[in-house]
Amino acid sequence: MTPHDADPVPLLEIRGLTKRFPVTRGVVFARHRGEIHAVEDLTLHVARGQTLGIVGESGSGKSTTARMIARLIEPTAGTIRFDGQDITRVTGGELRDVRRRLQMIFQDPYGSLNPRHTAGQIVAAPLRVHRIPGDTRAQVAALLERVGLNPEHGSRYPHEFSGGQRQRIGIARALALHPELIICDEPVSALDVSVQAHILNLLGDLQREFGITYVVISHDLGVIRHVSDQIAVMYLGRVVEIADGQTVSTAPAHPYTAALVSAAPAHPGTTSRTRIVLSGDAPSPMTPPSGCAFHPRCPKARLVSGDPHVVPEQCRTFRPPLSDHGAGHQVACWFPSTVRDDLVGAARSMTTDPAILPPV
Amino acid sequence: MSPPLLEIRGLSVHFRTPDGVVRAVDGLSLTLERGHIVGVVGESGSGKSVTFLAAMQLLDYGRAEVRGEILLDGVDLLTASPREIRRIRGARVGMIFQDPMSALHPLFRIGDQISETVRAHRGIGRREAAARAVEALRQVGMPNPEERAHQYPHELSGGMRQRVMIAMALVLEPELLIADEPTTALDTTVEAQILEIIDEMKSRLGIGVVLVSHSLATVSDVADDVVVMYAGRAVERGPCTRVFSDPQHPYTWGLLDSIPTVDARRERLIPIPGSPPSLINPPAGCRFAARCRYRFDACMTDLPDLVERGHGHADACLLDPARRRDVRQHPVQAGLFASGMP
Amino acid sequence: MGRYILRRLLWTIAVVLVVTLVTFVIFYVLPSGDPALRFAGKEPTPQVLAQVRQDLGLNHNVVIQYLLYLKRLVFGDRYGWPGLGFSYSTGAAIAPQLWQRALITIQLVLGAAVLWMLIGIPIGVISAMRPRSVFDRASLLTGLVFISTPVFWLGLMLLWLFWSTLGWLPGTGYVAFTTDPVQWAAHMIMPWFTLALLFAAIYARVIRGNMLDTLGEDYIRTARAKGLSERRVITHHALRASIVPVITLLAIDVGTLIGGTVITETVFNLQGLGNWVLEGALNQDLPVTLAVTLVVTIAVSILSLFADIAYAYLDPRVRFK
Repeated sequence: MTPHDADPVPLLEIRGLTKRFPVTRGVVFARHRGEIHAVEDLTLHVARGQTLGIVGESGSGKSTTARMIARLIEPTAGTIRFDGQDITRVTGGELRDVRRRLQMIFQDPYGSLNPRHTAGQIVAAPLRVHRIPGDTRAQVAALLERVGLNPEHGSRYPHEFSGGQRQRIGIARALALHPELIICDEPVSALDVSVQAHILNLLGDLQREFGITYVVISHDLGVIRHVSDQIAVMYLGRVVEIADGQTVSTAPAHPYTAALVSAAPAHPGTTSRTRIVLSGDAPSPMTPPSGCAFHPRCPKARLVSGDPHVVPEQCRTFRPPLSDHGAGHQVACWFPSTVRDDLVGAARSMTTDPAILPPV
Repeated sequence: MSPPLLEIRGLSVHFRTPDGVVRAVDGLSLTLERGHIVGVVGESGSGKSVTFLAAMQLLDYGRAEVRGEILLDGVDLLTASPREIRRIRGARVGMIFQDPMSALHPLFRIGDQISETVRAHRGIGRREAAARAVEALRQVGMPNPEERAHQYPHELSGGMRQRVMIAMALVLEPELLIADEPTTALDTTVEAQILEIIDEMKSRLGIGVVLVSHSLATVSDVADDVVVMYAGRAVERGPCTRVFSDPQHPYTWGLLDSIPTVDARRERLIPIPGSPPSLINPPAGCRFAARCRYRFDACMTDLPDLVERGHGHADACLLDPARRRDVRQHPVQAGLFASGMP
Repeated sequence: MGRYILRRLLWTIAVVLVVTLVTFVIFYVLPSGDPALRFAGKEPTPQVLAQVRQDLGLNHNVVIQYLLYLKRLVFGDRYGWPGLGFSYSTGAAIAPQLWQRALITIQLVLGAAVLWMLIGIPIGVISAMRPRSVFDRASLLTGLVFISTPVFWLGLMLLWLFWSTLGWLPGTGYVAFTTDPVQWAAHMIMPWFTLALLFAAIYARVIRGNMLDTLGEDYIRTARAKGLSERRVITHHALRASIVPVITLLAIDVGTLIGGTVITETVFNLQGLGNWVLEGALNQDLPVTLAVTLVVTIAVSILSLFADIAYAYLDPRVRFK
């Protein structure tokens, strides 16, 4: 199902979103030393009622993206359209109105709740801020119950709850205003394995019941695969591939996606596949490589050139744009991979020669 | 027949706290042969980390009561004198921990941190120890090891730091490597690199490896055998191939059904209801019973021990083995959830 | 690093300028009677008054006065360099006295600093290794006593005990090191301890706190897991990490102490800076006060620069920011 089928106007539309953080030296006379290119030229959309999963490793820019969408930080460039309305630079009252419809759940269930407020107060806060009429107490009780908590525990403080329960409080808080879009920044990473399943199921149930649209950010491809209709893979601030879950796990077109998929542990009991082990580390977002950001580590590039030491000129010089690769599938690669490519072997031939490891 | 490399017999670790005695580990037994990797899997509170900290006498002994035996090549680590255990640490047993940023000393160069181990145990001169440190870094695939040795931990990425930890743990070519959640804090692709290094070093040095993890999937990829822990006890163990293709314990079933992975189709996950039991007042009977869909009366009163089912596969469950596959398909729904959700 | 130091030195000059300006404003410009009279000290003779008027350039306007003052400061006056003028109560030139007195104060402060580190650090380390033990509680209690004890009482008690009663040590006064090293030390021991005991107590607690935090860190567990001796873990790994903030604390304490030893100097009759500025204040002898203020400002600035450099040297994480 592509976004275009379901709804002519996507609920969330991002174009050319960019965020650069300046790096300065010196305390009083701050000198501009450079910039961290956290997010570059991001274009995505999410249809109503769907879930977009954004997956990437550290330095990919996925968290910064989440914060920009939630308008917690302001983009350097680009636009964000929410239900057709440009919310890129709204502030004050307008932003508050947007927040009624766009909420966020955070990663750290310990840090995102004010330890001095009771659970009830935390969930009631959005209702009070937006002056929602009606019996606040009853609404809070209903919310707590919906997320699987005992309403009587509303008078308890965060430290009296477990990690999973705290995350539920955060979800109840996000639900309070019946938003249309919820951004989930690593919603289960800080939780134990058996608790993760509960939370993921809860999010799924809420989506079915209330028609909520989700943008889920995670480094865990398993989680993303489980919850998403569409998956966007990010590397060094850019989207390198967008596809549905099935495609991503069985026929990824971008070599980085392939490596990510192969590195994610398989379900125990299934035959283990050989991993594509990338060499070196991701480059610094302050000095991204020329051309395609992935070219220093790309096994496909070596396959194309036929020589483990050589990267094609095209990959080194020109950055591949995100282009169509089939229905609902986009890739940013000059030489998209097929299942026949021996990326495992290519990656291995790269690691044995330290001379070609990219400078880190 | 030589004794196994590592043998844990009836280990129990109890902590005295103001709230009562926390029974972190309560009757654990485990065996590891040379050249094998055993994965110890459990969630927080399962006692998996405490077990191996106890083995190396790294627990705070003011609070901890340790009983049982942990034999390294036949010698009990728990009764070793402080001098003996210091000789064993680093030289015969190497350890790596979860977060390499906090596990490395921030103020010393990484080369010095590695050569320090060498000099402490072998009394070698500074220059030679430094050379050995560089060689160790090279073996774990660190690019430009001579230059890197002069760097500080904060100058390296997470994956590099973990390589340093591995180099430091293996520089003296110990017999056993204990890896406590070595990849939990790392990115997925970096995890793949680190697991490959551990595997390679295992093959090259012929050592035994204990891989402690909360991730069943990681363990199934890399380990030969697996021990599944719950509430301080082992509930299932055996070769990975057997345990994961034909799991026997309801907790293992629960774990397998509840983890989302890349290749799984998108269905509703089946989570394990309830939450882990209190370790201060563990319930009588099977510790998992309160959350088990398949429990019956005896489960609430009898504490099951590990029972061999053949081919090294053992589990601690009272269900009739012959009927387990059947039972798993048709869970009994009779009211069983512990109070509250996790 | 060199550029950093240069920048900091420039900042130091800026700070000194600000301090002199403020001091100048307070003393020269605040209206209340004839400034020349104020400056001339108690009961000046007409000649002194005239001299003062000339020196201060009171005929000129404020800005010129300040600039004249600065000019004399930087280029010296007829009494030498820097141009600090003469004391209005004693008539003596300030600059030569300044060095002498500064030397005594510095000896006092540095000696005390060495002592308090030698006492405080081991106590702090041992307390951290055995928290809540008898030793820990005893050192806490003793420390509290020394922190609460007024410095002059402590000094007087030491004098009474070791000089008057036991006769082990000579009394007040100062003997230069070059004259007689043994006597020098004998005279300095009590003043050193008077200052040091207070700070030792404080530093012991600080070290104890830092060590307790450090001992809970993961890298200490790693050090033990490597099989290092407990001694090495404590002295090399834990102490090294705990001492870094203490070094900067030390630098700042020494800097501020240079102007703060008045009580100890008075009790032990040491002619240092503290003593001097007290006299100057009591006699309304403003050039003296001004001179000491300048010295202390510069000392604190330079020592805090030193503290920052030391921190960057000791903690590589700070270095590359």
